[in-house]
Amino acid sequence: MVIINHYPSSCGILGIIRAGNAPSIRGSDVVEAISTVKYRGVGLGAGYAAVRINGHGKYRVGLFAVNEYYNDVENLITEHLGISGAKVTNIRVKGKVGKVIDAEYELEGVDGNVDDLINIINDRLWELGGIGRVYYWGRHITVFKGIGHPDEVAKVYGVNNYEADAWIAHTRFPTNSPGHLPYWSHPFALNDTAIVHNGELSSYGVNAVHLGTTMGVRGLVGTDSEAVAYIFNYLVKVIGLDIETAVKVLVNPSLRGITDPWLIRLLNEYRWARLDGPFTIIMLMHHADDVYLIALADRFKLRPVVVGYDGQYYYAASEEAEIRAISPNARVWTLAPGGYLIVSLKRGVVSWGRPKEQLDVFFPTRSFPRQSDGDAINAKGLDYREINEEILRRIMNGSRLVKVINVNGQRFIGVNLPRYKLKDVRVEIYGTPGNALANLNNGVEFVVYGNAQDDVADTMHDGKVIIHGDARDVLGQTLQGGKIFVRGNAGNRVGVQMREYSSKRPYLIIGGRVDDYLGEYMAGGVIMVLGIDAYRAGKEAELTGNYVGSGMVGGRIYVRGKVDYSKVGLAPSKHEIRVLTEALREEGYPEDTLNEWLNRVLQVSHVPRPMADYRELTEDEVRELKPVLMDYARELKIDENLIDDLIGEKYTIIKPGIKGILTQGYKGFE
Amino acid sequence: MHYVERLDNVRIINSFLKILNKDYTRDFWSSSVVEEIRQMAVSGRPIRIFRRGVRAYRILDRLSFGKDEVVLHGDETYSSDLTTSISGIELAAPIYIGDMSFGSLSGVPNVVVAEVADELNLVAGTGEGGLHPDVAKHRRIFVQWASARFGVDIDVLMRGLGIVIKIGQGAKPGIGGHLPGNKVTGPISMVRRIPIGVDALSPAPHHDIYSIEDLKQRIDALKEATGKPVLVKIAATNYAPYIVVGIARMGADGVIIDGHGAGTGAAPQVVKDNVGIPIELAIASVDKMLRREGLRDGFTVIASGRVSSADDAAKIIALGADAVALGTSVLNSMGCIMARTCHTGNCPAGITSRLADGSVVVDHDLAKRAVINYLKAFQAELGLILDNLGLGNVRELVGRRDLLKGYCITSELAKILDVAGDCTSELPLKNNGSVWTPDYSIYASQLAKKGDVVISSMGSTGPPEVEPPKRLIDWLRLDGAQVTKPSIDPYREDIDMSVYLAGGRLQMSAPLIIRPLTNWSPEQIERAKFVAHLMDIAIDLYGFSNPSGKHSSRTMWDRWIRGIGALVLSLSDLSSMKTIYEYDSPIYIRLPPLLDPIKPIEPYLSQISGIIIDDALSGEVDPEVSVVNADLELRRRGIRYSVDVIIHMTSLRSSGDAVKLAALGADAVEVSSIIGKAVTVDGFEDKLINIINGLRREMAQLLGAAGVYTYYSTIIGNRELLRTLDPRVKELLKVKVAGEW
Repeated sequence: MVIINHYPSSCGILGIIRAGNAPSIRGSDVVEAISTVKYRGVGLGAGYAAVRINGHGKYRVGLFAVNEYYNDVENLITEHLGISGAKVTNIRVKGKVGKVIDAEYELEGVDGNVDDLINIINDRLWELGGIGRVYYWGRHITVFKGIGHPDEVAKVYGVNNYEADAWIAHTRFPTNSPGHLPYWSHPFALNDTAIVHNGELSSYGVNAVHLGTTMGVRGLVGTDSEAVAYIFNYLVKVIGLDIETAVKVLVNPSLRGITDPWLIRLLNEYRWARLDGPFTIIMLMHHADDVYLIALADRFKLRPVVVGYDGQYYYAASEEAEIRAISPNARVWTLAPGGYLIVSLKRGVVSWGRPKEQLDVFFPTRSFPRQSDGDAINAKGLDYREINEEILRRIMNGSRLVKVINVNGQRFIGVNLPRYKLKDVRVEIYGTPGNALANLNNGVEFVVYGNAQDDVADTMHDGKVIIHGDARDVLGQTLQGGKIFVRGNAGNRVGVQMREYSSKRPYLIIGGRVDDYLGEYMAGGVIMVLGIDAYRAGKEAELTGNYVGSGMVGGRIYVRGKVDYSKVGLAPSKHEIRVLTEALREEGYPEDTLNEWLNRVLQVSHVPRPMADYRELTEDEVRELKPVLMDYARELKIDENLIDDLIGEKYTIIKPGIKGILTQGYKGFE
Repeated sequence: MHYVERLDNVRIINSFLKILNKDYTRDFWSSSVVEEIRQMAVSGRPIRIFRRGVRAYRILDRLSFGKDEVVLHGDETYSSDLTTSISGIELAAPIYIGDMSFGSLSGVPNVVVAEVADELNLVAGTGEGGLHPDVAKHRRIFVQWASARFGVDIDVLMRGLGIVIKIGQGAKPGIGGHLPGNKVTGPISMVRRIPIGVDALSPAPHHDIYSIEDLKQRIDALKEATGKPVLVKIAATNYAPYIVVGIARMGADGVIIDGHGAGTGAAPQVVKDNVGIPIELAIASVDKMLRREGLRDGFTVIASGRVSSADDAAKIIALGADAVALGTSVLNSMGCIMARTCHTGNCPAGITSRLADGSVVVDHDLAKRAVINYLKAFQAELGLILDNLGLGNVRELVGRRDLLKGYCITSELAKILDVAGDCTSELPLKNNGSVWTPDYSIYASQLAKKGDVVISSMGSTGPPEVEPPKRLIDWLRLDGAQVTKPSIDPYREDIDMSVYLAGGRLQMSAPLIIRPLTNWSPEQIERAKFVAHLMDIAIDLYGFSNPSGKHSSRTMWDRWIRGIGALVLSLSDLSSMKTIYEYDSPIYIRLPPLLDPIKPIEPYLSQISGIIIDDALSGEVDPEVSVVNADLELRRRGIRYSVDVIIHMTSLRSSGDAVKLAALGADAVEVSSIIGKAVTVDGFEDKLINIINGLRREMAQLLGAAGVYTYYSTIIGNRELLRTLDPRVKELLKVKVAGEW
């Protein structure tokens, strides 16, 4: 297959697996959870996959067939199966939707791997004009998918009453309508493996050509999930890599940071399996007598994913609201950029998605004050427009404090307010607000008793946002005034493009830790990362990810504790430094010229690398920052003595680099 | 103007400068085109309609309404109705004055454009630089929300009639806006809120829009905040039709599609020339797909990029657009002579000057009169075209591909455009001439001087539409990631360019290998070896003498010495050798460009690390074809990942060529001519380091623009990221035609 087809789409995803002796998961819970993010789909595709560890006894194959060609499809399949010695022992029609019949065949005489056989069948069906498609096979998996919203598809197939040990679910937003054919709905499944994916692979051209040209898998429908399903199945079940190794290949860590020769060889040998572009993938697999739920995030963390655990079930979801819908008190955390969660039904957690110590210190189970005040706006069942209109109405009627309770996933809260230029107004939000909270804020104070999600306070010019839990990615993008206080953690690209001008200087204070690209392209303002829980526990912990302050042209970042200079800006890799050193040695240059040569070869002319300093705060800095930190303590109900202690600590202060001035860090040959 | 008044020693330009002499193979905006625009700007009268297309390689020039050219007297009147509606806003004509920021333009032109939009009842875009206070007084503006949100807050958003979310622009798909540091002077710094003197490099993607559902989120947020219509501006790229359907489904009120060749105040030259497809190929597909999905009604499609006359506009509307955006032509009307120095801030016509003491600024009244005259004349020509076609109003022209005739529009192109026409004589795929055009000679010397991405201004002059194509690779364009996936910011984020040749034994930070020129001295070769080692790449000395044993680990040579990076053998060397087992180093076989490069080396496949296809050796096919076939054949045999494909194309002249060769199927490229062009004996080592650095950084730019952050696993052989502008090339290189879906 040389010229390939590729169809972009978007979505919301979910995965659930039970732990230990927890009861089976009912489909109705899965439907309820995925329906929370209904707006991530548009009713043009939805689906579920369910796996039972004890399987169904029989080997089963799920099939879509266009009504008028049903007999041709059935004949084709029985014929090909017959050649391999297998036969169809039972046919059950699961549903009839429009022009498509959805049938399940039970097989006998299946010996080993039928993947190749089914590929041939699907290829033939595709060549004949897409008259049908086998869309799952195995002993333990069942897939329910079609055209429609998640609840509609669920109804057609009786998903609500189905029980299984693990599930994944998907709601789709394709750019192009699939018409009446469910071939492009997700999940994509094969051989007791199913995948849902949010994002679009830039590596698709390589992945698909390899599948087609080298592995002979033709007749692909043209979605990323399908390609990933084939790749993962091949790595684990054909080549025999263990699940974690296969996941490492898919997630495509940056080779610049890796020195382990085995890992380097592995990644190069399976180059065609490495994914690129934005992706959050959730997979379900029955393998070696066990069931696995796997969730992975690309190393640039370009798609959201939240993970949760409530003592009985592990969850992975596009948005926290999906988890809270069915497990309001779950402990939640996020995958690290390039991180992966692997949960085995029998063995428990194989990989948490971030280092366990980080999880223990920074992502404990949190509880937030609840508000049962009769005067609050009850957000349950309301969409964002209704909530926002009511908030505005109350403010216009004179309220200075508005409370909103039972918030779960509603986005854009408060985004209708900026044009009214309000001052001295406080909006308290109880629950889990969705994305884009407080965008364009210019004076209102927002308080969240819960975790916030992505894109909080985008282009905020004044006012306050106080979050008692965590915020996720892209917090405070182009923040230009006011204060953002977070008690917990924040994710990737926190404070990206912050600015200051005339009398306005924004302050962004994080009580926990952050991931990569903190303060990217910052041009003004102050960011502080305090790691309060680590401090209290007496634990030394890394409070940031990599690439801190990359592209900074102004402003300051204060991170408590020592941040290794290799994590500041875009650093040369260890390998590059080693080779450069080797070259200088061979040429006969003295050791003390290393730094100069490094800057000569690796310094960027358009965007200098930031500078970092490890020291105590100066008197001026204390004078500036203490009042802000005291305000932080008051708003978040933290003991003010703690602030005094924190102010006395040492910080890594990151500031913009200057063109022409050598960056520090390299003393001599190592 | 307010800012201009505060500056000292400002020199006002109040008359037109002499137009530079350039023909259409040197600049799309050739002297004859600029001359005509200027005439219209002076007289306010239409000149001619149904202009005969002269540029053989521009697809739009090969389309026509089948009518002979009519030279006008200038006093003709038209009866057709030009009124158009953009997202519920009524315009007197289907003209949007394109987004050119305060900062890229020198203030007076920004004000003029807003004033003209008000007076002529059109709409103007503000561009990314925020709202100049004098522009803010005018109503008929669309405010731009771009990745850096420069100068934007709720007040600014509420000013205009609508908001444009700018994802991309035709001059640099996948890259953010760029205002060079020397143009970020006091007034600009104040409006944008960024430090003086520092490059204003907008992020490549919107950091809150990494997928199509994220775009919906942003559209909904802006509507929730302002209640205004929201449009989305994108560049014309490989997946344009899907992206536009997605934009329509997400609830945007319209789309602005900016095609290849569109203007810019500053952009990396290799991105301008190598990324994006012409507007004509995008518009037809977009219109068709929107209609097929039932999303066309009520959704406005504005097309832009090289709209140089009312004829261009009429054809583009017939292909499927509701309106066109005018940018460069408006600047030409107010006196631009295409000096292409915008990025330096030294504009002789005072239009894109840096705003500081002593600047040159165009006279307000001259500019305003000129633009009004030009647009009136333009509208007259458009009206007369409609009259001549028997159409009562411009809305009847939208999507009327049936009215168009084509010359030399065949196979896939005909399917994409719904217009067909034979060729009387075939357009050559390759023309004679040196690849070292004036633009590329300057490019090479800039690369060697700066060691970083080379920036230039205004629209592309690259092949095939302007510079006649000389190689197959000139017909290829790379994808720009927009909306459905984000582009990656190469200045601030970690794009991995490393490669692991020879199964990891030859690890490099960039897929570049230095190939010396035959006239290099031993001293230069020694310097080059050091540079290759220093920069963690390699050098191929096959056929050269190797002056010393230094830096052997990075040297590829035809003689084996202990520690050599790789041994390179030719086919004839092989035939006289019994076995190649005894060597401890990786072995590469050097071949001429063959149709099937794998066949002659079949017996040795398990012993070698790879092949080097070298077009300095005379071969049977174009080097690009050989690379593609090598990649495909190795994949068919299941051994692609144990045999490297390296290409030495002597005509390689930029990082754009290098990335295209990688996408065709090469693991790494050897560079020789570009070094020869720019690196003199004087400062040899320094310049060589700069060239390598520059190439590597530019390659990272191109990768980021395509939404790729890992070179080695994602780009190589990823022909899906390429498109071609000619169907014959599709067959040869297995690359889809631009606009195909």
